[in-house]
Amino acid sequence: MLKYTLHKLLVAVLVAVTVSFVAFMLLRLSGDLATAIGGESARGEDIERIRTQLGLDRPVLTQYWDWASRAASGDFGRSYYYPEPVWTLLEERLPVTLRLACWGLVISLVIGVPLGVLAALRPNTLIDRVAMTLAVLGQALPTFWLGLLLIILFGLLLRWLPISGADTWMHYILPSFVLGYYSTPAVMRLTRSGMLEVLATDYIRTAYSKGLPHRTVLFKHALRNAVIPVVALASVQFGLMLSGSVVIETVFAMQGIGQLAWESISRQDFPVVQAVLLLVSMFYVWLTFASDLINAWLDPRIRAG
Amino acid sequence: MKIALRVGFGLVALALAGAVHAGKKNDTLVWLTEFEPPTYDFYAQTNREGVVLAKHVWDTLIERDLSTGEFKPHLASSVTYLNPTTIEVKLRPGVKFHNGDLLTAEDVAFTFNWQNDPANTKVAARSRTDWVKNAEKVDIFTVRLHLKEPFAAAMAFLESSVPIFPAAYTKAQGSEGMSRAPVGTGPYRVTEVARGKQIVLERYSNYFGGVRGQAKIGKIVMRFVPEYNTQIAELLAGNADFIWRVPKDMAEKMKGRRGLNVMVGDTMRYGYLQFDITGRAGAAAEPLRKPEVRQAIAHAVNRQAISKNLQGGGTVLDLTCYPSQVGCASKGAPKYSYDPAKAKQLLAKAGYPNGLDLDFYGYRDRQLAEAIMGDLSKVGIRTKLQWLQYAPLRDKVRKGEVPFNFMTWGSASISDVANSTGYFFAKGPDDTTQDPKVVDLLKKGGAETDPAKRLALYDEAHTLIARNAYWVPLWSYVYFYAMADDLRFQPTPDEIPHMYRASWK
Repeated sequence: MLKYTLHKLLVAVLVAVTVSFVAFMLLRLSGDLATAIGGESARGEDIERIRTQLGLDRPVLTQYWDWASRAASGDFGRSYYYPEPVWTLLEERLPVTLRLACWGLVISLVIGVPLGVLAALRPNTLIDRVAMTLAVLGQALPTFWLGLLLIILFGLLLRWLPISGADTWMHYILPSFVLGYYSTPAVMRLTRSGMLEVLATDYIRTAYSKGLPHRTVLFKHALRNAVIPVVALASVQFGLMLSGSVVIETVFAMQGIGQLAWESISRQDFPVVQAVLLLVSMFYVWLTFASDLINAWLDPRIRAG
Repeated sequence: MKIALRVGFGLVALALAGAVHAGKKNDTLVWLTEFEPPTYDFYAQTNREGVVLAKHVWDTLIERDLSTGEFKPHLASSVTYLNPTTIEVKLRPGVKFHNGDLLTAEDVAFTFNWQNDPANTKVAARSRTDWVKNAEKVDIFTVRLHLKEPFAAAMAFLESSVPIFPAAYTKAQGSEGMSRAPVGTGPYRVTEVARGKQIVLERYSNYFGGVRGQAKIGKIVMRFVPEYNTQIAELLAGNADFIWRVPKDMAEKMKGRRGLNVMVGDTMRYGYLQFDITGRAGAAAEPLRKPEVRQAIAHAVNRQAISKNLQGGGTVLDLTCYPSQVGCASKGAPKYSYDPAKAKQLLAKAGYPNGLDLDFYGYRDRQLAEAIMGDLSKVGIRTKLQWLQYAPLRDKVRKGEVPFNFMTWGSASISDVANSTGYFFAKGPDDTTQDPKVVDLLKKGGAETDPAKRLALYDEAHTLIARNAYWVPLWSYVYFYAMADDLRFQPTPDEIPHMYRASWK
């Protein structure tokens, strides 16, 4: 287990270094940063001052090394736009994105798993087709489109829910639903195929022949094995939600990491963009690691290697 | 994506036939805007929202009367040139900051000297104040500004770029403290700063009035909502009272909707076609060095039609500045009407009877750039569009690598040609003409403190620029505003909604 953990840690470090290096180089290919930061009204001397002040006059590799060595100790530097350390901005914005992603994941599981089970129990029937249609719709509708439709319905026509902001739990209902619904199809399809596979196995037949009630067979024996790949998928979906809430946070004016990343890209606030990229890639690495551990707990065969 | 967003907006707009607004009832104006300034310390940022807020929270020594365009003393009771490099300012007595501090000469001197201090690394645009060498307190209400050199645009800068900060508070709190809890003398005081969400302003009951007068609306909540569809939904739902910079197609769909009022207003930002005739751009720019080719381009573009049909309004410009800027006038400058036949004649005269090929650079408003290209092709000028981001394009222009481009300029909302014609044609980094006669006239104009002499110098410079078609000035840009119909609001060209002038109907 120790070797396994060390291996995963090494992978995490390599991913972090690669992501940060590639991002650093790509971001610097998009023109003179000092001119971009100075904006239209900055004069030549302002731009030169910005260049010197931010160390942009040094070789790019030196700049990367400085950034990486500070980032290794948790110092992501200061934002070019906000007069604050990057970490302060991330700390301010992270809770909104985490809350949104958590609720999104819950919604996608709450809708996706039962729909998948239902479709597997009645394969190739109307129920199966309705479940599949719902799933296909989830992936076909662009998130901003669905967001706007829900805003019209619940924010404008019915006036049940707030349209924008992140002040109360009510503000999270619409964006979480949009985020969760987008990843429902993947969860639903995987649950359905997993259930179909498990229900056709010998041990399920044996369980039924022992006289176990249908509900026990379904939930205790079949579902437990069918959801193993869903756990892995859920972790990936969670990572996607953390990084993919850019559009939703923008539509619903929620000040999370996604909106910060979007704003920072348009403002060429590269320290923030790099920190967000690193953070999100680290989330992926650790979520995959966590899903491996949970899978090992659910399935003794994985534990046994 | 954009088309889908527009369709999305169509749905939002169709969803409601009218809107009910609550702002008037509780005397609170909810204003939605796209961006949050990075900091609320005016001097540490150049963001538009930051500039707008500064007009409400702080005051400047002089103020432009928005109805007459005249500069008038505001925090000052008088502003006098003692000599071409010394301005004496006498302050209006009894003005108090929001924290109760009395405004004195110490505050004015501190504001200039602190912003010009190299140790103050928070300053975003030193050019706002660095035309002053130092500011000297003479007595409690008198301060002298010692200029580096004669600077004719001083009044325009004093009006737009130098809000006065309280010395004691700023020294104690620094830039961060000022951002957390801004303190000024302005018509509104800041009562809440919720980062990432909103800033709340309340009418300052002890406001001295001055040129701006007392604010009429009790409370302003500026909320940051980045997506226009969402802003419109909030406006339609009655949760907001004012949005601005609305895209044209969205604004047009809202026109005539019950409960809403849509307005269009000119801004100081204008578009222009620029040519590099310094020889730095190589063979690609060679045809453009002939005045007839540039004049042909000026006659070929139907500026009136493009401006009206594609951006929904705006003023067609004849000079390289916005008409209300001080010095933006010329009796002798020729005007270039839309005349494709004349354009073809001029091209033939220049030695291009079969037309010519040019690289054409741009960074924003692609539909406008393509319309310009379409007009040029009608007279035989075939253009190849090079589309770049703003920063790399500006770098290339400064390096002399761009023969022909379409760009825009907002003059940093400074109502003086020193920041338009004087900026682009006085041998600065963006001067792609470098005509020594024009440079000389503009430098003299920039240093001339006699208004009549100054205007004459700028008149001559504008005549030379227009006669040689060094630029083709295009049109001013417009903003679309949408608001609750019980709000009385008047747009102004400085790209600043002056909400202290707004009121409920």
